[in-house]
Amino acid sequence: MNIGMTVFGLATLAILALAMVLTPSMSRPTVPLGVSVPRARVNSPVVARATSRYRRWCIALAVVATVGLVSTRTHGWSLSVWLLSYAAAGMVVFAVCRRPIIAAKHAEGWYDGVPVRVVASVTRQESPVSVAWPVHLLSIALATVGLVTLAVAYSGLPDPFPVHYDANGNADRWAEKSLLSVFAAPTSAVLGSVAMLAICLLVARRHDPFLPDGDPGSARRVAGAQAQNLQRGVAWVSVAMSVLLGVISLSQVGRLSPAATSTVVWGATLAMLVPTVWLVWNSARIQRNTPPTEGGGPDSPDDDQLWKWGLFYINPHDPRAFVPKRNGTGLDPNLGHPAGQLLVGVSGALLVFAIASALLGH
Amino acid sequence: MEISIDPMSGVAIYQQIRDRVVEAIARGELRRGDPLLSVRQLASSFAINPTTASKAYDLLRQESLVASNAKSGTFVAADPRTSVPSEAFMEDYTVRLRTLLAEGRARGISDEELRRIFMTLTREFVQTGDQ
Repeated sequence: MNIGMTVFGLATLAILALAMVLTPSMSRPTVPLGVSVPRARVNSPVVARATSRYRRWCIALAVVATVGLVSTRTHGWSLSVWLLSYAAAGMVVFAVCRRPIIAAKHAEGWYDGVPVRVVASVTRQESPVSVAWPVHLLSIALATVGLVTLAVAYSGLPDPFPVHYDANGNADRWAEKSLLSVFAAPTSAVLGSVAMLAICLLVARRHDPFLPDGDPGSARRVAGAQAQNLQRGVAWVSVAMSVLLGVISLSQVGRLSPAATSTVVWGATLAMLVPTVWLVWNSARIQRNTPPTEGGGPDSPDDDQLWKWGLFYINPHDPRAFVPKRNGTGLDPNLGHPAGQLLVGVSGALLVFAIASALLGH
Repeated sequence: MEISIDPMSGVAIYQQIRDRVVEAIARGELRRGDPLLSVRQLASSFAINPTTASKAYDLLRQESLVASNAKSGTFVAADPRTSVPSEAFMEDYTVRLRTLLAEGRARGISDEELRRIFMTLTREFVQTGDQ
């Protein structure tokens, strides 16, 4: 692993650790560590202790993963194995640390006599969430720049054409120069940007229940702000990806030295992490800075039985393939829905393939 | 137009959806011709089985409060301004209301209190339904 890859690995691990530590802060306060609790119990000592314990474990595991990553950085498998192991360990810690909250809730009857409601619209309503159109159009434009640049410089490109580079910027795979070999990657970048826009449009038009969480006014403001934050964050991630792929295209045209190529590409890759950090940080800030409203209201129902270990949504009666995340911001697949099962199955297979490739050194 | 349901209530969810839609029509918040969500969209909105959502619309269709067609989808078919209750409906409604009032009386609610509740509720519908 070269220095760029090591720095990228450490930066990714840091962001993963930040996201895991901030997960309770990004989530609705009435689902601490994925456990439904009434608003009145949000500040219970058992909840505070469990959350604190979870965060300490996340930090401790991050230190272990960092030491492991640095000490095994010469091995090709190091980055993927340590990142995936940290994520997996984090899930186990999450599932274990939430148990005292569940036990206290059942032993003390936290939901006894608590009025609960689910609110939803029966008519089509204009979405309160606006898609970040200008940012998406910027992403598509940047991706198109890479495509156009290669098209203009096509006749001067080398044959065979380099289609893959190692971590040090040296070309290590070539293909016969053709429209496919030259334009496959930048075309994918343009299509990817368009796909991100399409996904954001679909997400903005979703029909989801509104959960009052014991304070409908505050819950509505937070839900709206989180949805808007997600739209902006995803749009800027799309821009960052277009910049990265555009840089790769330009470096191919500019015939940069391997060292320069490596520096530029790893720099762009690291820059790609910036919108992700912003998304996570802002999500936690929204929860923290939204004041409660006077008077309160009904709580949301206790739906722990639909969330395995507080992490995985399984509801075959729910027609939605994706549901709002219970922890953090974004969407989770419904593992009771065929589309959700397919997505997780394919993702799992790709993950296994990636790990096997890294371990076998191919 | 939002409605709220109680998933812990002993009343079936499709019945609650039906009841809230009827109340919204009575208050004038839903008017004849207003489009409603499709069955699938309604099911997604409440995270319920589409069969349950369909049952709610079936109840409303049986009462001619909601209608569906291929062009317009599902929409509100009646409201206080445009509906004229039939004699059969009035008879049935009176029978049901008699039982409901009797339940309160049997539990010790006074005539005066029954009248007060009745006036409060009808005032809520009259004020907005006539707008």
